[in-house]
Amino acid sequence: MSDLNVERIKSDSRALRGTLIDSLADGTTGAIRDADTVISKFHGIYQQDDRDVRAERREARLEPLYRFMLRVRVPGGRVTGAQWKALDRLADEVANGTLRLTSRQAIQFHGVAKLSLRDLVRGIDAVGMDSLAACGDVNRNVMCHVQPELGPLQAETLAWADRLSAHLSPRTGAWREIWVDGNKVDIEEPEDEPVYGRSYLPRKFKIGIAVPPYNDIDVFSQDIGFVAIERDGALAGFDVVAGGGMGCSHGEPETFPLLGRVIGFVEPEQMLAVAEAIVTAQRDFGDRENRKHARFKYTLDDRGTDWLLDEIEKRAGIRPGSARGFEFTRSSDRLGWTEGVDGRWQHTAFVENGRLGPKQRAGLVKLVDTVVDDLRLTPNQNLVLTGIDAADRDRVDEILASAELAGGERRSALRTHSMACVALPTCGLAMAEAERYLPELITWIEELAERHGLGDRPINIRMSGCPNGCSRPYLGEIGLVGRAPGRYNLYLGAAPDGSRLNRLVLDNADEAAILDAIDGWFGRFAADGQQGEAFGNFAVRGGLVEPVAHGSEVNAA
Amino acid sequence: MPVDPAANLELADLEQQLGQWSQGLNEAQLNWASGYLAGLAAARGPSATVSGAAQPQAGGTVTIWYGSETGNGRGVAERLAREAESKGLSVELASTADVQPRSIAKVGTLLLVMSTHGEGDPPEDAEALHKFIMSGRTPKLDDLKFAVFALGDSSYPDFCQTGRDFDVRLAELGASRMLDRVDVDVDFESTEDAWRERIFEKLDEELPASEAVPSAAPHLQLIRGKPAAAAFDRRNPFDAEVLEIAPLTVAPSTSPVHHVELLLPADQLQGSGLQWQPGDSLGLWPRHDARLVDEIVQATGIDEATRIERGGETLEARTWLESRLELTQLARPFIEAWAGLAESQRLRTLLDDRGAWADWVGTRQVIDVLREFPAGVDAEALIGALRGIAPRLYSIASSPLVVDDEVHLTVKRVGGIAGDGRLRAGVASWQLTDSVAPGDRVPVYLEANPRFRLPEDPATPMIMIGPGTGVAPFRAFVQQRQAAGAAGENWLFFGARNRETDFLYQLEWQRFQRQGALARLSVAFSRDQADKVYVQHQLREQGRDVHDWLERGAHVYICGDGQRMSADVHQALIDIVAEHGGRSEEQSIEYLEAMKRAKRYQKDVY
Ligand code: SRM
Ligand SMILES: Cc1cc2nc3c(=O)[nH]c(=O)nc-3n(C[C@H](O)[C@H](O)[C@H](O)COP(=O)(O)OP(=O)(O)OC[C@H]3O[C@@H](n4cnc5c(N)ncnc54)[C@H](O)[C@@H]3O)c2cc1C
Ligand SMILES: Cc1cc2nc3c(=O)[nH]c(=O)nc-3n(C[C@H](O)[C@H](O)[C@H](O)COP(=O)(O)O)c2cc1C
Ligand code: SF4
Repeated sequence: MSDLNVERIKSDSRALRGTLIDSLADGTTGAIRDADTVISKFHGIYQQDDRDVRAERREARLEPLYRFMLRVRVPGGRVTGAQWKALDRLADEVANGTLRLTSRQAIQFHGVAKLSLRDLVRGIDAVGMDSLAACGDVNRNVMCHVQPELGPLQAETLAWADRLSAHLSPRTGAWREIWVDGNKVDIEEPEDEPVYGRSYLPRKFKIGIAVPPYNDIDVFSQDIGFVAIERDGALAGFDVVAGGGMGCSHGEPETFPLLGRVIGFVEPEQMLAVAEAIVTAQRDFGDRENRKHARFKYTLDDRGTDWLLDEIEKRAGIRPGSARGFEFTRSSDRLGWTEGVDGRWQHTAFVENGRLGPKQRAGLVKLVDTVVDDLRLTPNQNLVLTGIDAADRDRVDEILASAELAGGERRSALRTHSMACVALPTCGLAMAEAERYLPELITWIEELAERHGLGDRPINIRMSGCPNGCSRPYLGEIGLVGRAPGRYNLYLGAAPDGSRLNRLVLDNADEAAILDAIDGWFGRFAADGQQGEAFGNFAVRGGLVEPVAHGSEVNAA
Repeated sequence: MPVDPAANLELADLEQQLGQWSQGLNEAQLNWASGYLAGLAAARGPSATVSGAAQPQAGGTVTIWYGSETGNGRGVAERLAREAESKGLSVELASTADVQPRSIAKVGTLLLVMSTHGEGDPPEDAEALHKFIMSGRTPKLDDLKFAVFALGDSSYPDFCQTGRDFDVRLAELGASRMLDRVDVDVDFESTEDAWRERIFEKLDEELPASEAVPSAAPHLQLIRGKPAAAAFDRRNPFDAEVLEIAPLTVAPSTSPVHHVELLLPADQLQGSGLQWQPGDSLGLWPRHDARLVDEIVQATGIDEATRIERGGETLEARTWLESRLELTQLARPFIEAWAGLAESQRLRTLLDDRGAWADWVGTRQVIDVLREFPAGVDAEALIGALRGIAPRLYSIASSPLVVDDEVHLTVKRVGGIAGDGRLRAGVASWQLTDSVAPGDRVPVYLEANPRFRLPEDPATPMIMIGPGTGVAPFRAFVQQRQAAGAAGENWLFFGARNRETDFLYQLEWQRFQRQGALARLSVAFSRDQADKVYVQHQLREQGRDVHDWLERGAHVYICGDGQRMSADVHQALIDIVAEHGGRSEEQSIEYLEAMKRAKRYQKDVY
């Protein structure tokens, strides 16, 4: 990819058409043209290959086993029963038999062959879902706190998430044209993109809405975060957090994760205009030379809050007022049963690393067929089943148990607070295992916790297969970032409410070294930790690690 | 021996005469005779032969190879190449994934940019070259000048290990270091620029700009055939060393095919009758798997130690079975003999039943007959009943211009281990795809095929139709045309069962396409969709363009396994010529006949 001129490809793409139609027709390869791999991302489709068989196929002079990942866009993470059943069926028909809940409340299919892509897209389109702008240099799936027992406030924020998503969605008709209709349309003039323009954004862009006291969406990791502010039961508006992000690269100190900064307060009606103003400011000021410096977090870090406020005022005619302030208690999900204001119940099921295999899928389909019609994906790769009558709870528990999706109370707090990115074998950027390895590592860590009598303490452990940080590892009380097969950078000391980054403490460590370090920390925590004190906070207070003042220190071990 | 088509045409008759004349001569006498003849040939003076014997590269050419996984090294190499070109040097830039490891022997000045991955391992694209360079089989590289730019990450225990490997090893192989290796960390920009400068200073000294000529593809060169000690041929095969055996298909392929590389050192073989050109085949005298011989000895209860005379030669029964007699194919004479020995009426009737015969023998081997129709025979009788073994032929899949002392084959395994655990496989294909290992030697000889030759005019376009192992000679064709810088456009039709498991040499075809050596690639994979699609369907689909090519004077080649395929393809061509040329069926047939007469339509079908 590094040799592709992404900016040129975007601007020449005729509103994201590229030469995808021809790429799909080429029978000599399972791949699409290099330039089209850039364009397809905007359609929510990534070209990948099965890295487990790369070497063997290279030996045999065969091209890699190209497969595609499709990311369904699910604003606010809401899925109906009918939609769920369609996705479930497609997982078998055209994908690798699994569904993957993502860390941004979306759903991914893996292992889709080039020739099956259209069937898949038509399948999701048939139930009113799409994958447009699920990836690419545009605004991504808009996240929103999902647990609806909060009532009206929750309902309102969800509605705003939808509006935001729609407002910032690309206008191009390419997605339907290429994947659903499947015919070449010789458009004389490609559609206008009022918000994005011909070249779209310099880089991906992410927005999320949090509802205190829950920071499950990790509002400080978003390009723009909106924090719902309540005034007597109703939504007063949002405090705006800007310029967060995780991604960085090994050995490149000029790249680093950053926490978003609070820039002020806006009323609900001002939200869309302000969001658009920030997006267009990034469109015009973001770095289009160096993709590693192109995220909004750098634009803002370089130019400062006043610059942004001025731009917002220029573009939206609004100057955000002073922030109202908010308190977060946690960034993790509350697993198990909770009652909603409407007296109905919901169950948050722990889905290990978001991966749903045949067994789990079968259980969920059974639930959808019988009691559940409203599913919510959480930012922690978990699944909320909502709108359940008290009478049906036992039934639900039973089915979940048989599907190995039983609630958090049946798993260690360590495990249920952990999260890993996809990494191998599908992710082309992975340097080490994540999803396939974390469960095993956790088992060892659980033993350490037991030994130190910390068995029931929740600790956010987040692992990513590379420094891009898809599981938001720099916000893990313990963070692990892939370096090479079997080797990780070990981070310590983020705040469990997502308000403080962690810091690199061990470089390029293997399993033994990692467990050894954690063993030591747990010893100190067991001895000196205070009642109810979170591990990440203790790590800082107890002097296990220096807190970072600015993201650029995270990797400066 | 001249590899001149005309001369070769007569070889067949000549061989027949010699065959008769040499009846009853023993091996020693035959060897002497062949040497004598070769001597004569030499005495009668020079003979033209095509050869690509390694020629050192044009002095002004700088070769830049890179091994890169995450793109850093590629970047470095590309910047280096750009500057070199701007300085008027002629540059050959390539990923180490795209170079024939052995071609390093032809490089004059090599700038190697190499990163390290895994735990001190080469990046994937450099694995083959690394393996080759570190292996014992690397040629001396005394004429090579080189410098290594190693990328790494100092936080790894094996910092820049791969770059180091190359640097050390190249020196060991006699190459001379132009500059000491530089090992750079992930922040390498500054070092990179400094290194580039030093490189160009060096290059100024080493190769004055005046000498800098645009890189030329290796030229065809006439060299004189040397008198040979003994000519290698069907009767006097050469024991070729097996260099490599690698699968070309992956599970769950239903028909495994392997790539086999044999060493035929050009210097030893000059004028020995083992010069070849694209289109030729290699003959192999196969050897049966010991398991099969054991099975036969047990089934018949013969004493394998008995010495038996046959055709003036006396050997132990086991030796006869292992390498001298046909045990897999069922020949009529054997069935006749065995019908008598086993006093089997069924076998006798089978002999007269044309219809049943083909299917029957097509799924059985000698051992199956011995089991099904037991007969009390001694070694003498058995050996006497069996047919002498015949060599198997394999299209040469490599061009002498690219690998001048290697022959590459593309071998499809016939049969295999049967359901009952017994070995029921083709003798040669099993040997080449399973039994032999690098270092082993196998008796081979050259089978020239003057009826399957590249167009004389390098500018002539050609259409190659080679499903399955039929692509083998076309790999040689395209390699040769690329190496010779031939301008003619090449169009390959390939077919197999499944694209993902059976696409023989897929990466190489894609590389040829990128490099412009393959203008078009059309594929038909029969089992990738509900309805079976074969090369002839692809041809028809592309009918208009195929016809255009024919009108432009294109040559058409068909190669592969199966008369059926070639008949279907022939019919497809007739229809295409008729439909797109507005000709009648008769005219179209004549059109193709005329092409045959003009040597523009050639087949090598087996
Ligand atoms: C599926 C998911 C991880 C998961 O286990 O859930 C994921 C998976 C991938 N991410 Fe991510 N990212 C995912 C959330 C994130 C997050 C977390 C978040 O957004 O809250 C981040 C960190 C926040 C941020 O953006 O800074 C993240 C930062 C990246 C980056 C680094 C971006 C940067 O600024 O440097 C890349 C690489 C890139 O963009 O160049 C990346 C690229 C990728 C790709 C598409 C690899 C690629 O570009 O070829 C991964 C596909 C792997 C696969 O086989 O599925 N992903 N990625 C998440 C999907 C979210 C969604 O539904 O849209
Ligand atoms: C000019 C020319 C070029 C060729 N080029 C190539 C090439 O490039 N690549 C290539 O792979 N081949 C090529 N061939 C074919 C090759 O020469 C051999 O015929 C082929 O490899 C089979 O030989 P074998 O000794 O392995 O099989 P054999 O020992 O000849 O076995 C074949 C016999 O085994 C029996 N048999 C077959 N399958 C089974 C089974 N499943 N169970 C029991 N018995 C079975 C049948 O009786 C059959 O007659 C070429 C042939 C020619 C003439
Ligand atoms: C998975 C992985 C493993 C690596 N292993 C090593 C190593 O063992 N030794 C080393 O010196 N560098 C190692 N590196 C660092 C790379 O060599 C370095 O990033 C280099 O700049 C990559 O260049 P390339 O993009 O051309 O491959 C490794 C990098 C990765 C991603
Ligand atoms: S963090 Fe890296 S390895 Fe993991 S999914 Fe994201 S890009 Fe892939």
